[in-house]
Amino acid sequence: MDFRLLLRNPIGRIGIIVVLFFVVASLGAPVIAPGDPSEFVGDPNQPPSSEHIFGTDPQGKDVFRQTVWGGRISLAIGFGTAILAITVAILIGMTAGFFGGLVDNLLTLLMNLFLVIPGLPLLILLAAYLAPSTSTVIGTLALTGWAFHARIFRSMVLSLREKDFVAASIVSGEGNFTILFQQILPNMINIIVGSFIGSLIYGIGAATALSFLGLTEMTDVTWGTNLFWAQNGGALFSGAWWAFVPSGICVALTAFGLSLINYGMDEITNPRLRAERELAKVVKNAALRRVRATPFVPRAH
Amino acid sequence: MTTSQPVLNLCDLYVEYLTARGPVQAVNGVSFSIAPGEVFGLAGESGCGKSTIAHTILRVLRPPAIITGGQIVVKGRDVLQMDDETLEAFRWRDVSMVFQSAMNSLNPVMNVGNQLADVFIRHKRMSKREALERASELLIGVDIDQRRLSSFPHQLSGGMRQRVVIAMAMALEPALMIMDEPTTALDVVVQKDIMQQIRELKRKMSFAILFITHDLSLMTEFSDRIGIMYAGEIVEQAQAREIFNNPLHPYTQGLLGSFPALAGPKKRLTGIAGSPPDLVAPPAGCRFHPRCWVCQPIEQVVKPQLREVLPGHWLAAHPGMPLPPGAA
Amino acid sequence: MSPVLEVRNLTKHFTTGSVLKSQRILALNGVSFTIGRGEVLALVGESGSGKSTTARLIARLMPPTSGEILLRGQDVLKTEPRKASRSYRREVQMIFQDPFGSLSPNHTIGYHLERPLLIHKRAIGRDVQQKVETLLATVGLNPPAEMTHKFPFQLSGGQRQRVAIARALAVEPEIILADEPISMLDVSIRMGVLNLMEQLKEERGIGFLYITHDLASARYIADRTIVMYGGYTVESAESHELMAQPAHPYTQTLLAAVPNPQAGLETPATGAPSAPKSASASASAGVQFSPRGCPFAGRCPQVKAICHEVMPGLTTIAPDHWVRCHLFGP
Repeated sequence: MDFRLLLRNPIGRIGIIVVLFFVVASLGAPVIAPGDPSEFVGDPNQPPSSEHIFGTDPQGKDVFRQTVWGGRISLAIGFGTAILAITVAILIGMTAGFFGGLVDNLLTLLMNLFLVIPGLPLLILLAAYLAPSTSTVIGTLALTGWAFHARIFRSMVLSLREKDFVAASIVSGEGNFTILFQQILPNMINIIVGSFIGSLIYGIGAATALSFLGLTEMTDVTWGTNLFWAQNGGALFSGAWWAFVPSGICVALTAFGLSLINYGMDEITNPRLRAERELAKVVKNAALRRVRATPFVPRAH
Repeated sequence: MTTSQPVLNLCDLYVEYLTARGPVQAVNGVSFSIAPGEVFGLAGESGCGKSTIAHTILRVLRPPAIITGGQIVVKGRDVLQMDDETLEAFRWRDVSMVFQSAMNSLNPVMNVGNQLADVFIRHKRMSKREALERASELLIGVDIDQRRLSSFPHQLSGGMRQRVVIAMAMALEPALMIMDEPTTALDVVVQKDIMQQIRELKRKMSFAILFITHDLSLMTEFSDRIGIMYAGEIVEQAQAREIFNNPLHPYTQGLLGSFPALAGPKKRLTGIAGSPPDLVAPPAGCRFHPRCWVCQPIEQVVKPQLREVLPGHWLAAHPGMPLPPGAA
Repeated sequence: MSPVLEVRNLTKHFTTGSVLKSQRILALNGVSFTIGRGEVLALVGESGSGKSTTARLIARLMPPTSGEILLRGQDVLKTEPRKASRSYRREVQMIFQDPFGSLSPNHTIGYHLERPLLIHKRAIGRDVQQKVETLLATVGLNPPAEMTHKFPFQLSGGQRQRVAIARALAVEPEIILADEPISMLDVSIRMGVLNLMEQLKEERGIGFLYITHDLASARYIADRTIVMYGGYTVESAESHELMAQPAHPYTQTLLAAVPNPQAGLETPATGAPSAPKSASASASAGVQFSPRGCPFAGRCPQVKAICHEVMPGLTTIAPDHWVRCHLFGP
């Protein structure tokens, strides 16, 4: 329902295009940058050339291949984190909000616990102690990321629960779960998608940070590990900027694209923001839009 | 008929809202005047344009609302010709307004005394001390203990907050006060209190009132003259008692027939079938004709003009048409 | 004939505030009344009088603090204490004040009417669509086939309220609780909805609890009217009698306060005395925090010393007309 609107919204459109670009590029890695990205293909620290479009890194690997292939796992971790975190957040947040009482008290305690524990130290601790693998990373990131969204969902459910149409459903004889999934959940879709995108950004960014610290499976090729190897090999000292800039830009641009999608969705759901732009379409004269008193534009009747 | 200059003379006003679907013709050639000290009621249901007119007199609507024709003459000056500076001086001094749900738009973090004093500081450049003195006089004027100067809005009841808002509107002693549904959010007992208060103030300070509400009984009790609005036009205008006893326009009759009585035999009421028209593409001719039960063919094509069919009683009708049967 | 719904000593107290400083709000105190088959009972009062709380208690949206709700003689709070049974939900339905809030924005009109039919097994398969259209036609929403596919935002306030009535009708209830069903509708639409309710009462023998702050509409549609103040019932009588011979000072105040188009600008209000000027008590006057004496004592123009100390009991002053006031009895 909302997604067609998102495409029509110019900011949302740009966001979708950017994110789609990276997704497609990552999926198409075998075609776009064929070969093994971990392969040593040439002299280290070669600047970009016709043979290696992005040059080579301090170990002599092709940076272009690294960048394109790196997107696969980075994005996968991002999506995995978001799916897991949001699912848990929905389950816990909605249960707490809808059932109230003791259940709510206990679950809120749980939420607050996870919110209070500092995220990055916990992440580093868990990653350092657990066997590094993609699923560990996803699990760790979801564990530190779910509580924030769960609180938001709980608030929404609390307010939706008081609405008349929910009371009307109860009086009609609807069961609790039908009400939760048919009345309350549909009214939360916007918030859930917004939180999902936020989780995505968190997942990609935090995973990159963890990889850069060397806390994930280092034989994987991800944007984060690219940065790790570049830094490890002293790319900064040798001035081989092409070794880390591409991966960094990819992370930044993906996050930026996702933020734009979120902004577009904000505009769709908040009529006040939309009204500003629609006003510009309808009242083309900019001076007229800025006036402080009702303009008098007489014409024949 | 008063010979002195009317306090407000609204002539042929046209106001539109520009939307993506096309301009919404919210006010379509409305004219009326208000004599000094008179209470003029503008009655109608939601979407008829009465609130738009109220806001347009003070020119506080922003685009996409635009005024596309007419004159609004207050004390000899046309509001539509005023520039921003003149408007600033004009607003609140000559005409002030009590907005709908105004009691909920008092600043919650400022005490009542300061909010009242603000009016004087801003408009008359008084010192804080002088302004607070005037504020306390105002509060006494609306029957609130002056110790309440230091109260915050949430510490006052709904009725008291409404009195504060009225005091604010009265502060600069305007010649005309516009009241847009001043008692809708209040209980009926408090409503009676407030209306009595307004009556008292009007007697003491002789301002005119443009009174807007959908509650026709309240309006008839309180107003001198009433204008009935439908879909952006005035369809009937007369003395309050006359409208109540002898409504001529079918819409007025239908509206009056929507209020059950508190005494007398049980009568079956029907209200009016159908719903108000879409103002982007309103019906041609008389805007009420799709819902009207005495519609003549000419009404579907030519817009009827407001004519004085009885002394002081104006009706939107075509010349030579028989008057619709009045309510006996 | 025995009443369909009877309420005895219904009481609801809310506790608010923190652990250290909790406050009790006595929202409803000892309310009793009956509704017979095809009877309309009006509960009239200002905000804070407890009338909406009464409806929500009978609709079993929250549990009462004490009291009995008897459906056809059986106390449902005893037979189904924890959750209302499906059969209760079939027999007691409710329509709400806000036509824009009582319909779910993401579902079609057809969905709203199907659900109760399916839940209570009133129809299956192709029958369902048929029944939905019949319901829509009954409440005057035509053409029914088109209406089924519309969403609430495409309907006007009056139409949405008719959908709400159709939804309540779907299960063929015995009682419909109507919480201020017309106060948010445009004036010219209100009578249509009230007339519909009256028609349903006559044709199907449904009992209505009509909750309102508007005395005139209570008189129009209700057989009997009960006036409430501060969580207590203060007067009850046949509707026309109540408006013609109001006994309780609050009822008199209420009647005097209703705008009278016949009174002009200069004529003083005739009839019973209006509320004293000092009655700028809060709008939710009467929601008191400790039960001492009559809730109206603070604003009553005919208050006596005893009124502040002792809660008056019910006194019958005429056939089917009782008052809770020391002016008439202890």
